[in-house]
Amino acid sequence: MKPALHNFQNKKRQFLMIVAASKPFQEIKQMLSGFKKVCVLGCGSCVTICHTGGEKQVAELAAQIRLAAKLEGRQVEVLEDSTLRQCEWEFIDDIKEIIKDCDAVLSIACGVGVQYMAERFPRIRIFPGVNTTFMGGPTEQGIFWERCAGCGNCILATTGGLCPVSRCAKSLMNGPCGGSQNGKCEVSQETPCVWNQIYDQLDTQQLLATMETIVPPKDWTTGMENHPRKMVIEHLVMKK
Amino acid sequence: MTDNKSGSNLEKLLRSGKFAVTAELGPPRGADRSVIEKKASILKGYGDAFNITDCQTAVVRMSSIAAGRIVLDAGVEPIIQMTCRDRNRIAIQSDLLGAAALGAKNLLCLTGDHQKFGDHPMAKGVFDMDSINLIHMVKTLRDEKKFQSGQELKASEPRFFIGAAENPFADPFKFRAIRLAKKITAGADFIQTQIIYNVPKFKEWMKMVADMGLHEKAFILAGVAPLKSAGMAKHMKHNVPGMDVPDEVMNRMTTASAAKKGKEEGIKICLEVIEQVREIKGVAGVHIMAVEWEEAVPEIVQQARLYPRPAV
Amino acid sequence: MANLYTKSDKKINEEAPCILACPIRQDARDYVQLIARGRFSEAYRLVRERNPLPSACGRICTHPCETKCRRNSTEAPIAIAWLKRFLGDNFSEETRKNFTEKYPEKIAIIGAGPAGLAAANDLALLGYSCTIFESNPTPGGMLRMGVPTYRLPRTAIDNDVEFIKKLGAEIKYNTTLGADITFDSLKKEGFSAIFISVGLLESRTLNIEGVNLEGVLKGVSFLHEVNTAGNAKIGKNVLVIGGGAVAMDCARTALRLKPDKVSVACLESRKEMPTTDFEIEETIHEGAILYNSVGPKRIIGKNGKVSGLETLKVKYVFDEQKRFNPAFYEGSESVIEADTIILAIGQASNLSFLKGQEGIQVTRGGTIIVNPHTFSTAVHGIYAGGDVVLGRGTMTECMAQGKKAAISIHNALRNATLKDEKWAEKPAVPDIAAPKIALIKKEQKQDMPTMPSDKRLDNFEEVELGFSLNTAVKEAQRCMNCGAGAFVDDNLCVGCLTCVRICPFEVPKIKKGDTTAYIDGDCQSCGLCIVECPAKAISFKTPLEDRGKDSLEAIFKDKYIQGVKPLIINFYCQYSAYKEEKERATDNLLVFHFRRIGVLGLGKVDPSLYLKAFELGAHGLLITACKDDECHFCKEKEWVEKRTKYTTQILSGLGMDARRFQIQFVSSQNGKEIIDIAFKMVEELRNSSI
Ligand SMILES: Cc1cc2nc3c(=O)[nH]c(=O)nc-3n(C[C@H](O)[C@H](O)[C@H](O)COP(=O)(O)OP(=O)(O)OC[C@H]3O[C@@H](n4cnc5c(N)ncnc54)[C@H](O)[C@@H]3O)c2cc1C
Ligand code: SF4
Ligand code: SF4
Ligand code: SF4
Ligand code: SF4
Repeated sequence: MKPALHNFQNKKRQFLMIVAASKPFQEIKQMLSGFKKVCVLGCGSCVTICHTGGEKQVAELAAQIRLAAKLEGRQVEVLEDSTLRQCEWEFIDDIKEIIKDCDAVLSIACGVGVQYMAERFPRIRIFPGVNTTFMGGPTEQGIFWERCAGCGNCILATTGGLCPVSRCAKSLMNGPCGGSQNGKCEVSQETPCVWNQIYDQLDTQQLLATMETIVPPKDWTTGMENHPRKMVIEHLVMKK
Repeated sequence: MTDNKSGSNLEKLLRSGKFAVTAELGPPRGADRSVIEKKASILKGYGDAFNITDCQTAVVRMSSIAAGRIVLDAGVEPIIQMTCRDRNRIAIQSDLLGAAALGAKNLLCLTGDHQKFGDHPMAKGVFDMDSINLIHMVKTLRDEKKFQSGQELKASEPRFFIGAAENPFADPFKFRAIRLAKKITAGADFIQTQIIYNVPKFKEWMKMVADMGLHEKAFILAGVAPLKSAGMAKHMKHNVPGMDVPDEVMNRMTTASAAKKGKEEGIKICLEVIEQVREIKGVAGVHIMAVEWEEAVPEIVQQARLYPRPAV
Repeated sequence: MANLYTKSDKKINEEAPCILACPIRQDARDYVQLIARGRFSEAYRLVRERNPLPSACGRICTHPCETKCRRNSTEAPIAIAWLKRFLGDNFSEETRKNFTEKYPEKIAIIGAGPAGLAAANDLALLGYSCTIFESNPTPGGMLRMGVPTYRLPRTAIDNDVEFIKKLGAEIKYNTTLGADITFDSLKKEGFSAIFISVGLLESRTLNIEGVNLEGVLKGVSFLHEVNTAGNAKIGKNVLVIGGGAVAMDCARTALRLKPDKVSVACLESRKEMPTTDFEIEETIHEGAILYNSVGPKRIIGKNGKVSGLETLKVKYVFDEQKRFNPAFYEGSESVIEADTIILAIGQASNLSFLKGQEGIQVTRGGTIIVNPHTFSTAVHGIYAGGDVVLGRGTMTECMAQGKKAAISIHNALRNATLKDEKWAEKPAVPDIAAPKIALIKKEQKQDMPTMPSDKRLDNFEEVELGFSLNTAVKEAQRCMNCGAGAFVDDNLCVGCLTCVRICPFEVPKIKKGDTTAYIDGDCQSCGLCIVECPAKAISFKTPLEDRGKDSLEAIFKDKYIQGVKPLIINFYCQYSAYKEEKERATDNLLVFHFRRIGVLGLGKVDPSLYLKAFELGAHGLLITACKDDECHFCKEKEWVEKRTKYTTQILSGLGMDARRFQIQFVSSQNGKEIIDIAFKMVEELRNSSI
């Protein structure tokens, strides 16, 4: 029998990969100073889920921008809108009409979305409203942790499914280092030592022997230091 | 553990079965070589080799390799420390070739303190590899004449007496001896431990180490350090990662500090630790970390009856 | 407010059980919610929209709504009926002024009881001119003839009837069908349809020895006499036979005529009695003696006058098939002495006017047979409803039939398909899930103030005195707004789980296999999730809840606001904040500088709204929230704190003077404290350079 799985057929899907933090408002204010008509543009995907780029945030930022202008005796018109995903040409094309006479767009999508906008609308100034921070998820309400660094060469198979690349302060391949104490990372008492977690996980799985083998230095060819990276799915590519 | 791999004094001494003494010599935060020379003159004769730290606690200091050469010039044998924090594998290998060419023979391989603790927390930490990878890379260069990439080293190879650090007080405790084994397997010839204040726990660890026969595969130098005051003890206990300062030591330092006898008590405790650890099976020497207090070293070495140092 | 358009959720389309339980589908929840917000006139108008007799209904309705109220699970139902009475007593007004005759057809209605009045009301609203023909010189039917005045003062009928008349319905009194008018005469006068709502005016009688003795009275006649003439002839020792509501009314009415003793004898055991506990208790409380499980064998007399009732002990009232089929213990005879016996064992119809209308079918019990959907009799153009169809219903059941008949008459005359959406079948919001009961704060039901019992028997004045404004609001604020709380727009939800995690009542769920959240009927309408949903996917179904937005905008539409400096907006929690005297005092003293926005729970307010208030021109914002233990939702303080802190940070980032945004946790009962805080704030801002 098929195990009881969530059946998402015909249902809307959601995403959370990218976690972004709101930029300090001072910085936003500075970026937007001098513009008379601004659109705050949210994105309905990852950044909505992490509460920094969704409809609610759009409304809140727009209110802040208006209030800031009022307090300084400036006039500024602030439009509010959102896209399903700012990282799709088709979806951002939809908002062309809305932003066409804006002087500037404050995109609170992740860095990908901001760039899609910048590439699609070269005449309009596009500003980032968030600091795209990491790939991760909420571990509890309001708390987000990094979980993957996009190293392009996943090693979770040997680490009990827990990533030392993104979660170990020093990305050790042979941890934990001598700073691991009481399950906490030497870098911060708030950070769990992932190598300690890996140890426990492998212990549970009776795979502690894995920890005895020396893991060679990671091959970073696919990693973040070799950007820009590109992925091609041959059979999906359409002939020009 | 007989053939000498590096030709270093420390290696010779350890291989001859003598109880070794190493100590720390921190390079200055400046370009003034006289500071090093002065430290070297204080320490000269009170140890067999001296660790030249590599931007310890991620604070910018003179290069450990350059400082090592100055120390060598002053007639003292350096142990060059090398961390993975600031260099990728290209830079590390390059520097090691240089260090060897400058006469360095001992190398302590470390992952390095996180940049967050230092004076440039905004710096990008490199961590291209970890200490175990570094140890293995150095060994491969020396023993297999191969670069990390696998390419052959066609000219002469750097020959180091390879050291590693281990912290018996870190968690998970049970894994600490295993991790030491990994370092030894990777190529470590000698080990310098984290500073010991909790001797019973160290003993427990050493027992695991000895049971695994690791003391026969590498020389284990027990780390010690004199405390200066109750304040320093407190700092060590709470702010230095992986440090285990038992309450008894804390109390002694508090009482002594109150009586303005902190330094004396610190040295006394240090000597007691040395007395105890030298009795433990598998301990091949001590490593004295008198951070920015090099003057304490001669006193400790003398009082511990480890002076004069034997010649080999 | 013509109609409340409560949004519906695609996934669950449940209606509040109180609304579904009501025969006329009164918007119980919504008027209660309006009262909770202090919006009394709107509440009255909403009630009146469906209910032509609010004041009477609020007093004597058997309130099935309360029986079904979901608050039964936490402690006690909302006093839905009493709240309606509160509206009727204090806020009644003509809701529509002019009758516009839209259609030429005239409708005749026989009988000005609840059924006839409701039919007339709704037909007039539809645009028909209608005439009620009533035998009596006064309106109300059994409400006037039967229901005692201490339960229902007649003004509570008359005022509402006046409004119905003003809508365009005419009432011809002292006109009896069968005597003064006939079906034929009506037709000749040009009436296109006739609605018969003549009720059940006769009392049933017993088929036992002695019923014709002097001193044996019929219940309805007895009440009618007392109610119209003000007295009736009774002796010193009165015995009422019957265990229903009418029997209780007879006993309590008799008590007010000051005999030496009043007792009630009925077949049923105390538990089986076909009336509410409340009625029985009041009857006993006022001094009547209750004989349960006794059956009348014969009435004993002396000199042609009653002297007592011989009774038998009851074995059972209902047989195994649960049919009414009483059985007695043989030889268990005993006598209850009495010089007056009132028979209150049921009513019967008087259908003498049907002579010559054999087409209209009648049951053996004497009720008229109608099509249950159209209320049409077998004779074209003749409809019937109310007690005469139901065979003893309640006033709301009768009104419901009158209302349904009105639509049906319209549809027949116009060949139309008008439907009242409120009658649509919907599932009821289920009872509160057991584990949630503990999460919901117990809120004590408000007591109805009553006349002291030692004063009651001296007169026929109303016993229940009615809610004060404060009591009414407090009572209404207990309502959980069932079925009209938060709901998720599937198209917007991104499944972030925020609502699922933060709801203090653990209501939102993302069900297995779903990708979006869903909120069931246990929602308490605290609004926390609505504010926190990053996708703005959640909103209230009820249109009554603006979360402060509309109120804020309304303030700035006021042109007198311009010169006010400093202008301070006070967002306050309405829960238990309604203190009429204090509220007014607060308002009067601060009227110049302060504008107040009350919200049922500040957890509904989005920090963006605070920013908006400044943007619109407020000089200061004062947030007054309840102290911890006073929170209706138990946990809002934490959220109010977090959000105001967040807002403070934003505002200080914008360089705003910290004194312009203040938050105080004060007991909302404490008007004085709030005034002090407010004055201080006015002074602070006046002296600063804002
Ligand atoms: C004592 C008592 C107490 C009650 N208490 C409650 C209570 O607490 N709550 C509740 O919900 N219900 C109560 N009821 C029931 C409720 O009063 C009735 O169900 C309701 O009034 C019936 O409404 P109706 O319009 O069908 O008829 P009725 O109210 O009986 O009205 C019929 C009207 O038609 C008139 N009429 C009759 N024949 C003719 C004719 N031939 N021509 C012209 N006019 C005619 C009558 O004069 C009367 O005015 C009580 C009833 C009684 C007797
Ligand atoms: S190993 Fe690489 S791909 Fe896998 S989780 Fe870690 S960073 Fe991501
Ligand atoms: S709590 Fe309110 S909405 Fe719910 S059933 Fe009771 S009266 Fe109706
Ligand atoms: S908070 Fe909003 S977006 Fe998130 S699960 Fe709930 S309804 Fe969906
Ligand atoms: S409104 Fe309040 S009670 Fe209702 S689902 Fe949202 S958080 Fe829960």
